[in-house]
Amino acid sequence: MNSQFIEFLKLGFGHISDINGYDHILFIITLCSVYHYTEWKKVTILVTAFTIGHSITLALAAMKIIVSNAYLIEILIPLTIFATCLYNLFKIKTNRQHNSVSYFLALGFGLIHGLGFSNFFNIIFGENLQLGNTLLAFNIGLEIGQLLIVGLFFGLYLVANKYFKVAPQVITFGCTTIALVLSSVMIIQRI
Amino acid sequence: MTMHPLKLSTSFLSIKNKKIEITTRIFTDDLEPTLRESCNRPSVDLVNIGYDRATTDCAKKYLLKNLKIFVNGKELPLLFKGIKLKEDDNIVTIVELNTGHYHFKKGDKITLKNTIMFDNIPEQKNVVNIDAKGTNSFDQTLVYENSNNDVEKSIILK
Repeated sequence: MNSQFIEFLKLGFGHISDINGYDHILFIITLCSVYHYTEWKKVTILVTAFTIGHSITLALAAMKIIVSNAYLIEILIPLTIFATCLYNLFKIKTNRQHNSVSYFLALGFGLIHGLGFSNFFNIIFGENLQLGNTLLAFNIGLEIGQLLIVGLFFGLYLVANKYFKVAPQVITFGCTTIALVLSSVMIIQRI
Repeated sequence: MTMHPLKLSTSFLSIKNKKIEITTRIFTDDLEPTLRESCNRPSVDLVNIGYDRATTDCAKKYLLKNLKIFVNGKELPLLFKGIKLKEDDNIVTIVELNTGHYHFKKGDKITLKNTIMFDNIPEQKNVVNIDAKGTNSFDQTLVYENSNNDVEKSIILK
């Protein structure tokens, strides 16, 4: 691995885990918050679906095959969080079991987040850089960051549930409510 | 409008024709308050007025203070070629600089100081893509992070 690969990996990691721009973190947590920490297989499928979604659009936008409007994407990203919150609330209210809808949400909304990542990537990236290596490194960095967020979330979930006896429904409802408020603020700020 | 904050600048440094050429892209909305403060000129208005003479002088002074090149520890002064807003939008400002002629050789240590916006933005990152062979292949990348106090970074010419 050369130093350029590592620098782009770190940039990808830094972008998704940037606490100052917590939109991607919030989306991942909202998506995961309806799952119990024992449902790791379902969470794996969910996170993989999000990864496939954002990798597709990140690659296509980096290759200039698709062009998106940066302002529109910045508004759509908090909307994906807001919509996921509504879906979570609907699930809580109707007491529905998990089904594949969540996976499709993760995949579809992943496409939008990928365009957000590509806006960042295209700013750092120059016309003459080797796209393959830098794009791969940036995407791997994003994945490491994403896994860390999921890991931290379920680690805290486990502590809250097992040691502080916080019910799973409370965790789901709490996370969803906070995300609903924060994403609403983001939408208003970005319009 | 608040976006996902992208507090970074991107530079492309190439060594060709016995010169170092640097093109730097900076977000205009980050640069504007920095220039107002550094030159004590509240009237700086990059979007509506743009780079008039006084603002260009101010930007030149600021950038030459925060971008420096050293070859084997000795400063190789940078010349300010120009500054402009990117044609299709005002979001990005493009700065061009270069050094005078220098006979670079294998083993030379090129050090770049890049502290653009470090005085104003704690989370600022400056990315520098390098083409050391003058072949338009930017195959090295240096990242300066304000939070790590990365002031200078070096490469060795191969």
